[in-house]
Amino acid sequence: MKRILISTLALVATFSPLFGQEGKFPRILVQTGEDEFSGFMIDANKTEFLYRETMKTTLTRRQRLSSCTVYFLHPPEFIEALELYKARNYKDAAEKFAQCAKDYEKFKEVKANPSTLAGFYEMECYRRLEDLETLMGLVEKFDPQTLLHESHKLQYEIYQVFWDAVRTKGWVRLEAICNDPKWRNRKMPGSLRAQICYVQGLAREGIKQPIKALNSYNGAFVADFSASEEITRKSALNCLRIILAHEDVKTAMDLYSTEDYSDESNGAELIKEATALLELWDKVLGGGENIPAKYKIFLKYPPKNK
Amino acid sequence: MNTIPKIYRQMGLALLALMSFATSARGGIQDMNQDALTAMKAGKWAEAHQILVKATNAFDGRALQLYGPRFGWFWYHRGFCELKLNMFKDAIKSFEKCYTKYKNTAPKPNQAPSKNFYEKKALLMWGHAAKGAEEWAESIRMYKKFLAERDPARDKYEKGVFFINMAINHFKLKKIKDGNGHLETAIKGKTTFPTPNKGIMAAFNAMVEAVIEEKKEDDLLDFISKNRSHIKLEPFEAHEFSPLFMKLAQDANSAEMIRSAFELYSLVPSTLAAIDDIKARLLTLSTYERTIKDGSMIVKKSDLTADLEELEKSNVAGKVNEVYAYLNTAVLHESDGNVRGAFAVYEQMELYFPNAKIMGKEGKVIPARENNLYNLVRTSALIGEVLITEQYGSIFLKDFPKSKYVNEVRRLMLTSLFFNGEYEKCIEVAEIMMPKLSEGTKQHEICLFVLGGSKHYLGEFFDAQPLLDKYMSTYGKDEKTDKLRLMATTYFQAANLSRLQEWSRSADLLDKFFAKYPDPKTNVYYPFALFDRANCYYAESEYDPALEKVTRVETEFPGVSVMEQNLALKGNILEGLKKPEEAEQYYLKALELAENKKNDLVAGECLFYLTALIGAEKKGKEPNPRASEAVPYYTKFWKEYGYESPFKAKVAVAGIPGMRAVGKIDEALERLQTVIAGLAKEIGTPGLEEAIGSYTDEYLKEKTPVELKKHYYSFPGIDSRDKATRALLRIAIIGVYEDVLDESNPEEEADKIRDAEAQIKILFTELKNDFDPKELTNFILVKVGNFIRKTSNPSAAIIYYKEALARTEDQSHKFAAIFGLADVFSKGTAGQKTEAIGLLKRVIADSDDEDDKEEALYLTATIHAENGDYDAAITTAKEYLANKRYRRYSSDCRMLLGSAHDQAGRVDDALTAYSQVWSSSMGTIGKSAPAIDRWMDLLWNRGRENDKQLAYERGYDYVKMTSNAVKKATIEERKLWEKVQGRVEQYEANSAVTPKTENEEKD
Repeated sequence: MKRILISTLALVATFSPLFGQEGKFPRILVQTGEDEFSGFMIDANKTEFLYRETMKTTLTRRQRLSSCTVYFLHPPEFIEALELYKARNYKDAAEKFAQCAKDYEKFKEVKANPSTLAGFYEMECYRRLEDLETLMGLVEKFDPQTLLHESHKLQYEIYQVFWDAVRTKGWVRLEAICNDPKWRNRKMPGSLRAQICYVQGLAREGIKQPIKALNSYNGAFVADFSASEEITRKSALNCLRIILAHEDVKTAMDLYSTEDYSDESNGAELIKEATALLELWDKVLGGGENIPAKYKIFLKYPPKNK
Repeated sequence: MNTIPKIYRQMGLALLALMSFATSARGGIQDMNQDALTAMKAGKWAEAHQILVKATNAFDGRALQLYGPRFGWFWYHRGFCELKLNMFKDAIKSFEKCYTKYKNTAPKPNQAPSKNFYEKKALLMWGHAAKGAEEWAESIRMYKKFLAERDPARDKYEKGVFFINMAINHFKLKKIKDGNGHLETAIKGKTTFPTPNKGIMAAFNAMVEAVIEEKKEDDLLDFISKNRSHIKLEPFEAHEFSPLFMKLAQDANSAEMIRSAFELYSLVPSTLAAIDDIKARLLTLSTYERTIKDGSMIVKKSDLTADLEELEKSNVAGKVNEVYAYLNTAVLHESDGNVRGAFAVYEQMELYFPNAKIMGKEGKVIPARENNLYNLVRTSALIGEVLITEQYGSIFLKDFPKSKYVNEVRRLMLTSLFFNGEYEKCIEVAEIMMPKLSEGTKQHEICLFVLGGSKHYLGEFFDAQPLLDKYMSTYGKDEKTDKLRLMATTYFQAANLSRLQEWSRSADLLDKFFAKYPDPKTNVYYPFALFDRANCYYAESEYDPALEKVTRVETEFPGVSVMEQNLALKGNILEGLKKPEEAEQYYLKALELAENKKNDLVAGECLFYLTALIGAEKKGKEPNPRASEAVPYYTKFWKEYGYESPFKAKVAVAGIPGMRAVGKIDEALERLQTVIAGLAKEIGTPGLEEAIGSYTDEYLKEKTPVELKKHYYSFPGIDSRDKATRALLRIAIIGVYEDVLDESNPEEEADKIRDAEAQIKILFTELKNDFDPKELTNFILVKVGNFIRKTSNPSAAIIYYKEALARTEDQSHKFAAIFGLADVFSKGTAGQKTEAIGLLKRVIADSDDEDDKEEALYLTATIHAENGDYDAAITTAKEYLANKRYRRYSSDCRMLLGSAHDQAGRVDDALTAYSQVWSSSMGTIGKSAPAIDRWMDLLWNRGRENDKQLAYERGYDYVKMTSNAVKKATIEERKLWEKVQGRVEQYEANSAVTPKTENEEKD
């Protein structure tokens, strides 16, 4: 296919007011089937986009989206934000992603555009920070149609279904959703499964099923072998909190120095579980952070008959 | 890895450098230069090397003179080829020669002036070669020397490769921090100079090896922490290195650097995420085949397509990297004591990776599901998730019916099911397993425990007892037996006996249970055992200790689940202690609690107790003024619990005095009729016989036996086809006439007796004629059999007993039937007598009814005596007498003992036995008279000094002492007594005797 050459003035006339030329322009590789070329996307709508081959040229071309494939090279701002994100600096990353989403907003109707992708990662930052109010504010405005990754779309659905239920503390509903075969049996990347397990733990705590919650939290920190660091850490701490508050544990601790204590009691078994979690905290679960001192109390009650 | 730069762009320089090599013929240096270049361009390193070796061998001696430093080219490229050919030691020498011999110095005399463009580059290559030769320090030295001496404008180098190699050298020298510095430079510089991911991963590998060897895990963690954003690759990129990450994680795991292992696992992308990532990227690459450098990422469509194909294939086949990470996670959690974590892994494996395959021990790829699912069942049982154990256990048994874990899974399911109260299911599973298990194995132990315990909990007490006994005899003393199961079975065994009303055995075992497990804090069965022990005391009418036990339960275990039963039992005990007011209060407490707990069974029971206690017909010998106060409880029972409660028959009976007191006797009788009719419809329901008995008693308070007979022949609500109940009613009428017989004075009421005997005979004849034995219940069969065996034709009873014994599904009245049959046979032929002894042995050995056992033992002794087997008769009689609980036939047994000794000619033993009979049962003329009669006879004839006088005197005394008792004796007994009297008179008349009257006069 021949590229159509038109003057910038003509283009502005044609696209105005739909297209503006403010903001940043992402580098693209365009494949038309007959031709392959690189350039900078200048403006876009749902059906077509404008581009220049270099930023120095004033020559702007138009391309119908239906007749080509566009590869967006990651803009430097996006790469910078992504590095912060991968380095688990979610707060700073969120700001950068937000800026990136804004900078490239006019391309948001094109598949795989950097604005939508940055918007997605911005939500991810707030999800990981568990700032659910901000997250749900973003979710409400977000359009996932141009995301290419199925896992990103699924993550978006998880915000709407699961995290929003956490935000509103709809524990009974959340527990029901988690047990729904549609979600429970669905195969998904471990990082997504970890989230579902974690929020189910919260739900089960909410509906006063602490032991079931322990199961869920354990599911969270094994789902992606502790890679979801923040979920792993919070799940482990929640487990320790549940165990410390358990009546049987309190009884076992009270009886520990007496002949009435039994290693086989439920309380003693839970203390053993907590002690194991403390050990695993240093190895896997804590991500290098120190365990809150209050949980070290479990170490004072080792089994008597090892 | 030995990373070397590409040679091609250097070729131009090479040509330029050698342009002035003179040549005269093919095979000269110029040709060698050209040929070597051509071969190198074609990647023919060995061929090029051969040419270059030839050139250096031929010209090196004179090269400085002939060509000057530029001859270094040959050494440099020879070294390069040697690098390519992994001849690192040779390469070192070649680069050394290039650098040291062909330096760019001012030409000496006789040296050709030229320039060696490779002098400094040779240092870099020397570094590469030294690294290849694993001379790490030398490599570092050369790299540093290169950096120091190089001409920045001319001596370019690939920084990524350089820093990676520097990092590897340092890691190899265990200088981890220095290595990390170089690796970080390589990684962070990715956007400004090319650093191949492969190089990064090679250095990473070297670092982990060094870290593991030096045990400096912190350095690795520190590095990962600082460089996470660079080493955490996008899933599509990371996929390539997943095997490496897995290997490194495994190495770290083996070195117990668990945190590092998991940091490394976290670098392994999920297969699904990698597939998704690649698919998404391919959507943006329809035709673009060239490599795209996108930030630090290298994207190439052909690579993505190949990776996608590989990943999808692996995913379908279940050969995915993360499976190992999951399984290692499970092992880590469980070995550290967090079984729940392992459970979570195995559940996710079952849900999301059911087709997972792993490398087996022999390097063969094998499906992992069987092991994973087994571990899921196992860990779920360990954390007490019994329903999950059951769920996945069932799946396991369905999907892996021939697995080596089948029995173990069943065992795990069993214990889980048991402690979750799924007793029916337990029995179903355990009964399948039991025959396949060897005694003495853990599985057998568990299976036996669950089977016995389940049957106990389900009220199958007869079946439970042998299982519980077996468990205790087989595993009770084995130290390896699970303590919890042993404690539970110790309790179940004792408790089960109390349900079988074997009070003394139960009490004995319960006392031992308390002694063995004295601490209520660790003995969960303690309050239940106290309650059972109280029941035993109560059953034996030992009310004070019973009261102490129930009070302990009440005060020390206020929340125990049997509290309402305990309060009701306390009421029973207080009644036994003649404290009806307090008993009433406890029944009311028990009722309130039972109603709060919606325990209808106990609530109904309490209403029965209240109705019976308050509504008793008499208080002492006086009419009970409170009888009418029972009516509200009676009414409440029928209103709220009557139709379901097993106490309906008892309440229907107990409420009659109260209802009579309030003028509602007809209503009460009508209700009792309804109960009888209702019970009759529920085949096998206990209490029907008792209800009919009570109804009969109440009916006769107003009516005559004749009216009763008429009423029972057309009992309301009893269908004419309900032969079993109709037969029961006939038996009840027989019972009434039997009572008439017992209560009538033979001398004054001969007509009444005759009439009753006639009625009984008619009724039994009707029973025989109207009812096929197959239609009768065991109770009636035994009753009819017992009637017939006491007639002149006892053998006619045999069919009734045999019918009862033929019913394997109904064991009721079994021993009564055996006993009846034995009794019939005992009067038969010698063969039948032998058969009778065999039957009686069964009764003695197996019957739970002590009365049956006592009677069987006595009957056995009599049969032996009748058979003339005196020794056996004596042994059996002594066995009877040795049992302190047996009293009913003790004088008969002593008589039998005397008779047997007598028959056997052992006069002294016979005399002892007879004397014990008449001296201990003097007032019972029927027993004492024949004993003393035979005793006198034997002594009179023994012939020792004073024997005759003693025989006479004791006989005289006996007659004198029993002269009043004989007035109340029956005609038959009187005849026996008169025989003794006659013997006394006879002896008195003998001259060998000094009459007692004379002696008395003398005195």
